[in-house]
Amino acid sequence: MIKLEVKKNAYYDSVTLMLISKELKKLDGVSEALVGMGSDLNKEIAHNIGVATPELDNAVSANDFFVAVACTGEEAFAAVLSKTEELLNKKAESKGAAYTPPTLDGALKIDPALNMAVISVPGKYAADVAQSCLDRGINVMLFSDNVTIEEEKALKTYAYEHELLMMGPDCGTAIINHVPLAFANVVKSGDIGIVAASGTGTQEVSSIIDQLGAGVSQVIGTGGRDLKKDIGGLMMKLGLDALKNDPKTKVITLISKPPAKEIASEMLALAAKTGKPVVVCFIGGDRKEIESFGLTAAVSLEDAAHKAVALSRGEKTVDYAGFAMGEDKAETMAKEIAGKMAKGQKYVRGFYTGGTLCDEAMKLMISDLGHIYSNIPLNAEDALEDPKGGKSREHTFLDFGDDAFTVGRPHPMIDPSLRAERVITDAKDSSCAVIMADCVIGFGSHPNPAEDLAAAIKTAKEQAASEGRHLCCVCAVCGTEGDPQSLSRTQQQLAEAGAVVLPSNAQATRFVSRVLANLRQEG
Amino acid sequence: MQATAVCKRLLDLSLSRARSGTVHSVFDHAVNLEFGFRGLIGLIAEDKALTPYAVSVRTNAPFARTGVRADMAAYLGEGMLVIPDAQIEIDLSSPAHVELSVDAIEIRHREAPMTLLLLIEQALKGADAEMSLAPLVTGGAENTYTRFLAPRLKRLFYAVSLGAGEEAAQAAANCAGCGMGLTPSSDDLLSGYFTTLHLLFRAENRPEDKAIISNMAQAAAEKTNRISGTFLLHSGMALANTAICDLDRSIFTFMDQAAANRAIARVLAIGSTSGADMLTGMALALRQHIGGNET
Repeated sequence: MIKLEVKKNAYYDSVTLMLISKELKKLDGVSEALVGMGSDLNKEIAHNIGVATPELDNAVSANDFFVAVACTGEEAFAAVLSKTEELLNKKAESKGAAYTPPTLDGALKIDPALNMAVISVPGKYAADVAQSCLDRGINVMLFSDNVTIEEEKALKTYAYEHELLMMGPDCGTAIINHVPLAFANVVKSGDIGIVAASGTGTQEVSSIIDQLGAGVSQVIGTGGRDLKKDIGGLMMKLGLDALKNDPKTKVITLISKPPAKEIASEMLALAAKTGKPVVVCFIGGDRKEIESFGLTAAVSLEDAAHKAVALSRGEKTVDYAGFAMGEDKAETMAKEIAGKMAKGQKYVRGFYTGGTLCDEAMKLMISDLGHIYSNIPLNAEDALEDPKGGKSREHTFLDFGDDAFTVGRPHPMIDPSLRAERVITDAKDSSCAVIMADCVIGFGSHPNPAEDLAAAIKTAKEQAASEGRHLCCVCAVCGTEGDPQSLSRTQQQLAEAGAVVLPSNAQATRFVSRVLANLRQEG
Repeated sequence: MQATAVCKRLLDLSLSRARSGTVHSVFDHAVNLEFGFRGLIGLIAEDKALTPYAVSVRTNAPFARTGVRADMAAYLGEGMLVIPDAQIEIDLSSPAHVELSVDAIEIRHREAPMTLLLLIEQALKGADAEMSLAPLVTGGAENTYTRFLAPRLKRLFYAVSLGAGEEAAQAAANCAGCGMGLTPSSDDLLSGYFTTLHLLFRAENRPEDKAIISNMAQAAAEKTNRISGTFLLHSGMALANTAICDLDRSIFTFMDQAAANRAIARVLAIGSTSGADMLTGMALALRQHIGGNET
């Protein structure tokens, strides 16, 4: 039976029409369905697929909406009409939900209870937008950068006085009430609260917490400048206070690069007063000072996660500086890899999309390597000239998320292609022994960041092999199994390309140190 | 309701003389107005691409919630657009005036067609192959519409390559109005094809053939609904939305592939499959240009 429903001079948007078409074909008793405007060609298609009627030919115009179906009987057609109406009405009802308001006032009209805003606008407008939100009692996560330090100070002072979160500027990661914001991972809920001035550092710690079977209560970002003297750690103070008073938070973890000395002392004193166990990871910071406040110091981001989980479980903390695969296996593998290398191969190249991960790797290796040239150097004299257009020099680590690489293009966690090109370029350097890379997955990141990297690693290894060299590629994936890209799938892609895949950035760094140490011994 | 950008043609029209009309149709993000011109006049939500003869406006709610309804009276004149019953008064002279003619885009790079084609082909690999016409470019599995349109488009391209105006117009009419959307997919494809032909005929130094495009667009517009026909007529006049103009300019003038990819993303966000279908039409025009009459 062929049946037709017509709505004269009726216009529905394309999304609705597509949805109706798809849904009608799923109904019992419907073998074919065509939904559209009554143009001659659509009528001809109706003939072609066997759903045309004389009424469609004669009484329907190009400005009329029609539904033509081949169905088993009146009952099936009634279901078609019912479904069509349901979807048209549903669209009308959901207009508010589907609508993206262009202004803050528009958003508040739709939902006056809004209390969190994520702001990503050009830097020169960001402070005004953030202040508008704070004025309305809305907490802010400010993803934008290029906000002046004076503007940041003013925003944070206002927020602090009004007990509102002002996360950022340049805040890339947060998880508030289990909702991941911007670049964040799917982490289990738990009792570990994090306050952090570091994006990928936070992702590394929270992801490893998840991998260890524990979870987070809140992850509060502060923005990278919060612990500078000019800002005075206003958001870290507020974050600490929030976690202190949060009954779901049992253990607190602080993550940052080493703050200014007086700020560090103030933060550590406040942390000690929370009455909760606190793990502090001031990457490369003063361990003795942290412990002098009765707090637990972490030696790496991974160690911070291990210690937070141990404290959450009421266990004793010990430094974690080993290998998940075991010490012996790691050493054997490092020795075997070094043994395959040609004379003259002696340098490591670290190509990172995560700035904190790059910084951590350099800090963990600097005592062994002496100099590491970089666009974010640990020592000013090791700054690499023209990091984007020029060549690597001896041991070189690059943060591809730094401004030098991101002008006019997306962040490398969204578009990792530039990093992949560099992997291939450096593989041609006969002195290059190891290429290290991170791979950050989760919300906000590229849908499959391993794809480009794996292809580049494969090409790089083949290129080196064709010239009689063995190139070692070492990767660590930052993320969780629950992330859209999946931790194991991502690791597998990299391993299949020939990379040695370690479970954390710290382990990857330690492994590379062993390969280089073996090379030095042989060499 | 505050105007944030206006098509230069609409501003000129509003300054020429006062006209009365009606609201033709109302959607979440757009309102169409009937003033008896060949095409409709549009109000577009600020976050959507500005279309020819339209004004972008900032609203606090979807248009359907602002009180504007079909058949309400509307007035255009003295630089103002007014819908009294919905208490809408828009000053067209204050916002930025946007040139939406691809004829105004400077062609500086001879290799632009190939570059643009490669970028579009790459982008279309991710398009909805079941619902859109992208398989015509990607070579993906056919669907009802691509199967139906392919031989018709072949006749159209052949007529265009010969510069045969009447045959081309007839062939364009035979392709129009095919597909599910409010703007049927084939209309979106044709509008992308027509605007790209305007650029390519200029690059090929064939200004006399531009009249063929206008004729094709008029013939096609008669075979589809009023809203879709409006876009076809505009494309025949070398007018395109801001996303398409930005895309063409990014490559033909600046050879900036990053900007082009951003513009492509904005085009793909138009409608359900409209953006992908427009890009499909652009790619087919570019292939025709690069491959000559054999394509």
